[in-house]
Amino acid sequence: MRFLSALVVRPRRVPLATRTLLRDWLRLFISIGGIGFAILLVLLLDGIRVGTVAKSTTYIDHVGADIFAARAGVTNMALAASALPEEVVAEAGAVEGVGRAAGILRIPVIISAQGEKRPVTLIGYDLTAGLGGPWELTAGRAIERDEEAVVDSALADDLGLDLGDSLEAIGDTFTIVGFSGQTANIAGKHVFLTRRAVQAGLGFPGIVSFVLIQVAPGADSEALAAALNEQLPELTATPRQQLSQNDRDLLGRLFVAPVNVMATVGFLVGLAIIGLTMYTTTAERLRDFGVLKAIGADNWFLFRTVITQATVLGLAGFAVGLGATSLAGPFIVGLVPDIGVTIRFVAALQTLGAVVAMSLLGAVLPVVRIMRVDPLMVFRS
Amino acid sequence: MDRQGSPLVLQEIVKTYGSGPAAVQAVRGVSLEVRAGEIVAIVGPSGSGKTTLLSIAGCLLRPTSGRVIILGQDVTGLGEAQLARFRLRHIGFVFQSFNLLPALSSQENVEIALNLAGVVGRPAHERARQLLDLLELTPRARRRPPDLSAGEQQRLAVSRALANRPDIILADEPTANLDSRAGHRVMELMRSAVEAGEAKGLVVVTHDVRIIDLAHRVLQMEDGLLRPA
Repeated sequence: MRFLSALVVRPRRVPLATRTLLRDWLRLFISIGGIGFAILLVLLLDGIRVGTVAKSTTYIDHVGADIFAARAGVTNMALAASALPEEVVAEAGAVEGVGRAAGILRIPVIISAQGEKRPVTLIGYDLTAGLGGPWELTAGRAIERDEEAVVDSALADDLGLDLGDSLEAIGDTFTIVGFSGQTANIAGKHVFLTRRAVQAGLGFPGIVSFVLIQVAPGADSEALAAALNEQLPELTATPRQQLSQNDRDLLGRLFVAPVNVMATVGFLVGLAIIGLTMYTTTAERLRDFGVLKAIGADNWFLFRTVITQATVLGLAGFAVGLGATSLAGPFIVGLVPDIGVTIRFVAALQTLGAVVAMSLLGAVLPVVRIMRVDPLMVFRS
Repeated sequence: MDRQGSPLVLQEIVKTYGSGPAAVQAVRGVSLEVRAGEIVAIVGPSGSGKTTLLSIAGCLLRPTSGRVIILGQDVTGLGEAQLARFRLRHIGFVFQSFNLLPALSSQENVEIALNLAGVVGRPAHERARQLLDLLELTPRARRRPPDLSAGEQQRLAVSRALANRPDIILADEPTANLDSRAGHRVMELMRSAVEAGEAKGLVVVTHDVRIIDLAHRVLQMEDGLLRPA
């Protein structure tokens, strides 16, 4: 309780801790800025991880299918290897409760345009099925022939592509007739072709990788997926939300290690800044602490003063870092459309906890030093 | 001798620094009683043990042997935390180099001593104002020590020393860094404070002959021994 009361602002007392910090504005500014930068690093990395992972399932989330069926045992779309005979599309369409079924061929490839190469996710879809192709066109029109392509608008910006330009993929040349929106993510921006063109280019006639299914009005996705799995054992049907979550979990795990490393670096940088600031502030004001001891301040008062200073520094740095992250997020997404930035309340709360821990740890050395101050120093000129 | 009524009594104080052949005896069996309302000046050359004796009287340094009695209480055996509380409530210090807190205003420099003693808010504020008024520093209440003259800083230090109505004020060369006019003013104010009952006694260690005239008793310290001047 006594410790907690130390962190509570009590205006009726002389605010020695904050007055001492405010005495050197430049150092205070640099310290808070440094801590804020460390907080920015931690929060932004987490925000990028969450936002980017969320964006990675944009095709699943927006294409309009309720259920995705793949080769038996495959419950992911990202990094999944799935090949099914084209006939399974009609078989799936015949299951009761299925409103519409469409087969797509999805494969990561390298495309060339304007003399440059880029990795993309190629989607070959059935023009007659009305499902599986781009759901939002920012310019141009949808594909009508096998020689045409719709390209993600961010990829088009990146390569400087215009409508009517051509691109090379899977050994053929395609004319760009439209640009799609919401189709960029870190795993690869999307390029849409006809399924027939992709099958021909890859030499996979009669093969699809996924069957996209819309449930009929009144049917239940979970129940229909179970029915599909039972009636068509050669495939595994997964409801949209489950498949999306599976992909996010998979990609999230890939991000965890580097993000944890960078978060630790951010924590250590913040700790070093708080520790250094507190240490130099204390070292410079050692005589003040000696004076306070001489006139009767106990060690608890001195401890409280240092802890308050460290906490004020940490919290101010956290506020700056949080504000900077909020501003930086949209700016970064504007620069790099592949990624997303989502600042989670839980992550902010965890970072705040880390800041408190940084403040307490950063105050350890100064506290030890002032505890050892000899009040007799006051007699020295 | 009524020691219960004496703010400060030192009995056979010995202080030895170091041990063995390198040991130096800074204070060699000194006894002193400061009576209520009394101003005692201790003079002597540098290295004679004046500051060591003042440190022992102020509970900042433990004697090798002997007893320190403040308001009838033997404080020689008290622990560090108890001594800190004792200094806070019973002793006021005035130092040669002022030792004010530069981050705080004049008003706050006085108030913090009150805060340490548990006096906070309006009572602390009013007591600080009263002392600044007494020491003629009211116009400087919002200024910080670096913005004050040396004389003003020392008067502020006296205000802080008086904040908790100490039983004894211990002053170490309080006029050494002041010109003669400012030094005289500080001493006059300290004497007035004792006479007004703001403190029960005053011990001043000094080289300054002007102070000697204001003291009720002058003692000479030499080679660790104290005798009447």
